[in-house]
Amino acid sequence: MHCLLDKVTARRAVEGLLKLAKGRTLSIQELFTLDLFSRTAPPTLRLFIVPPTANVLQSLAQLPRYSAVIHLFLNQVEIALPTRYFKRWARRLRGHGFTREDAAVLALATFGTDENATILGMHFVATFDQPMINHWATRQVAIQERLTAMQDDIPMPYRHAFLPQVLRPEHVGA
Amino acid sequence: MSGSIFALPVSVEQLAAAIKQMSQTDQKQLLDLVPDLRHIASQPSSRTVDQAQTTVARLRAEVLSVLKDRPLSPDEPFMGGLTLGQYHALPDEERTKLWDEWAGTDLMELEEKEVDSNALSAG
Repeated sequence: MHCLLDKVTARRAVEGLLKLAKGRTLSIQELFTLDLFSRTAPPTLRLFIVPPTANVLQSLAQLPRYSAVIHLFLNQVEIALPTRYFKRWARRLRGHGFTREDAAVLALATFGTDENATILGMHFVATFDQPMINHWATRQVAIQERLTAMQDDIPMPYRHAFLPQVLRPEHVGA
Repeated sequence: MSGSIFALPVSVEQLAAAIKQMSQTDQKQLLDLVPDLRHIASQPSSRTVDQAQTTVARLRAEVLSVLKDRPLSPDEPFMGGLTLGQYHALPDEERTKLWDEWAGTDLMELEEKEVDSNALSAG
């Protein structure tokens, strides 16, 4: 299973790790995100982050006092990279009322891959954005129809692209 | 009436076995008679706080271990000229803005990659 953490969820994980490193109590969102992070066990469950998040973490890892904690995180996650048709699908999703940023993350979960380009898409997007979760659920049939229509015109293996489940971290693989 | 039903010596497992023997039509009728079942079935299952706390306790030990038992101080210099304590004290919207600034990349501007012809679809 592949799970993409949206930007906020990945940030919650890192902020939670830094709180653990300070001996502070976690918020409920940090707790459930780190629970998901701790349950990561490739190849059963692989966690992915978006490239902008990876950029921030690579900068933070340059600071010596944070390096070990940030690498603890980076060593267990992968970076999802956009594949062909990612931008086209993101534009289609914007047509379903998603913001530019939400559409990009959702499109990456369908037309995204790993570093070696051996996978296509994610099974889950983990997010705390409840309006996005609700909107994804209510528009599901129309979005699936749109994807199916697009797939008629695109080659393999992209034709097998799939819609992810959009869930809160505590619901992923529970 | 309801009292007599609850008094029946029937376990959930026995009920489940009986439901499995029903025709699909009867099972659908059962769902109509107990609409809460549809609602429950549509809810994703969830991790509990207790489960998460147990998992995260192990992670806490791992974090302290990679820090060689030298916890971070709130006064540690962080990114953006802030200390770690100042960063954590910022409102969530401010932290979101900072991460967007620090990211320096727009996902929509990234080059699209060709996947392997045998790429494994999430479907």
